Amino acid sequence: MRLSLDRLSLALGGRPVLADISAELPPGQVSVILGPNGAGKSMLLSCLAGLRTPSSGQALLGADPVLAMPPRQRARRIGLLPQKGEVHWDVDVETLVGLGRAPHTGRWGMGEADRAAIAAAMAATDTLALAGRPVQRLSGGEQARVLLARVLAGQPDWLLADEPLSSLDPAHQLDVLDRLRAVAAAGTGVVLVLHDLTHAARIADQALLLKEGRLLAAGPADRILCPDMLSKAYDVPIWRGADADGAPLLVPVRPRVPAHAG
Amino acid sequence: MRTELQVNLSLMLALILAGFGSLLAGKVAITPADWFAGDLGSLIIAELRLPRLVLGLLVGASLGLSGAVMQGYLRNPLADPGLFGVSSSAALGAVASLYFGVGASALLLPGFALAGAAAGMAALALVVGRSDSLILFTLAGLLLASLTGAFTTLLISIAPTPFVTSEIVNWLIGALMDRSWRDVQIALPLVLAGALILAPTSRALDALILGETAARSLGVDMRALLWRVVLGVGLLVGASVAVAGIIGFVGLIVPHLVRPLVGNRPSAVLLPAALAGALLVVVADTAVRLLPTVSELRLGVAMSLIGAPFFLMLLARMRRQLL
Repeated sequence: MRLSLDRLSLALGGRPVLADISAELPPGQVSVILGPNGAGKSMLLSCLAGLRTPSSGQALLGADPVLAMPPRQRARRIGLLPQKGEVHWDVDVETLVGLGRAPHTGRWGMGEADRAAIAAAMAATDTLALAGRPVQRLSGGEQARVLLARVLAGQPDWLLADEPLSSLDPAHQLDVLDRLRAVAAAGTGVVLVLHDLTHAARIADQALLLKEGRLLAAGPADRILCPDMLSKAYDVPIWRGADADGAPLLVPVRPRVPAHAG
Repeated sequence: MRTELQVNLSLMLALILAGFGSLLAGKVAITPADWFAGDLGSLIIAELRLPRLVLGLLVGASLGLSGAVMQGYLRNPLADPGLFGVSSSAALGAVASLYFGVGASALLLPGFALAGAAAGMAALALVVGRSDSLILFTLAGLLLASLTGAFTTLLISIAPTPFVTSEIVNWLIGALMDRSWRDVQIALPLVLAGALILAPTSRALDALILGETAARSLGVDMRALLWRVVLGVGLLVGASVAVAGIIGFVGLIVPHLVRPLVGNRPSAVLLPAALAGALLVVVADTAVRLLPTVSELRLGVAMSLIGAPFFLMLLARMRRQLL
């Protein structure tokens, strides 16, 4: 079911943060939200997740406004991986992944379906071997996988992730990207806020380019992720190249200082 | 799951044993054979020691449960049920009744204390309004605690006679001596109501392991949770203060005692914390009766004497973890 934005605007404390944003995010694809700091990317993601009330317009899941859905029902359809991977109590990995079942579990605890979903999520993230380990003593890469498993355990139709690659080393960044790719291939819609343009170009099917709360461009990733468009959004020249395998590279370059005349 | 059940059953067993022990402890030696003899000894059991035991259970369970809920809710192992200022507002109410000389009535002092707790919660509600901000709430609670504390000190310092002053100071320390079934009647319904309000928060407290944003995305209504926690903790703490005065450290320490046994998941801590809180208070209250002091050591003092060193140990351990 598609997730869409219908003329959504958001103001915080009287200051406009997002203005008049309309876009369609197709299911089973990876959509990437891009833009400079303060462009409103995370805010847009929380509006999609139903955690913020827009000042006008709305986010829709199919035909239903996300905000109008009962929280538990919404939580079953839309899973969110927040930017900060908070883990406040040192519980074991399996317990933490099980938290993702919260919108499903009945009054009397977990059933067969819950346990199966947890096992599947842990298998998909290669975390089964960590099941009994305390979360706070895992490495950053392991923790990222466990937190991803937590969202997958809820079996949402949509997975929204806010900068899932921050604080990961290059190998783990690629690992998480591959897993998100696989999640989308399995039919779940994936929406990512990303900072790294090269990563974005390699994973995105769709891209939304934001600047100062406005939607600069939206559409198929190969059309949006071009040097012209990106340079305009980020106010810095962006160079597009390719690696030996032909995969895109997008790199900001230092603007040439104009030579002083006289 | 199995260890959780084992821990809870063991705690219940220990509680039953401690209960028997506390019925045996006191200045007059009464063997279990005489408990139902119908003489003076059985009267001491039925009208003094039994209500005292029941109150100890209620107060300890209330403080343990509210401590576990507060720590889970605030995601802070140093949180204490007194943090919202409810216990100090209740104390101010009770002190006011002593100051105005109406505290002698068995009903009026707890009534004043409960009114104080209710007024404290109402003040919080008024300040915080419809917000669900944790920081706003905690700050408002701290301010409320220090304001009511200041009023309490004021009443002590302007008390009309030294007798009233000593009565207030003594009451503030908290104790379970000379309590009757009347106090049980006051506390029991409030404690039950508070526990019923807090019990359904367990799943939301678990979700909060992941932080507030993730918890909300999992369907947790943060505002409803906040009010449930404040109301439930308010009822439990208000009732405890009304019948036993301020007994510190129980709510702070007990969750830490049970976590090594049942793990850190907040929902798993709630029941054992209530049981262990009851156990701790009943055992401590038995101990103060057995100590060979001239006048009985007050429970509040005993608790602080045990609690403060424990707290320091906790801090030392946390520091080592930080390194």
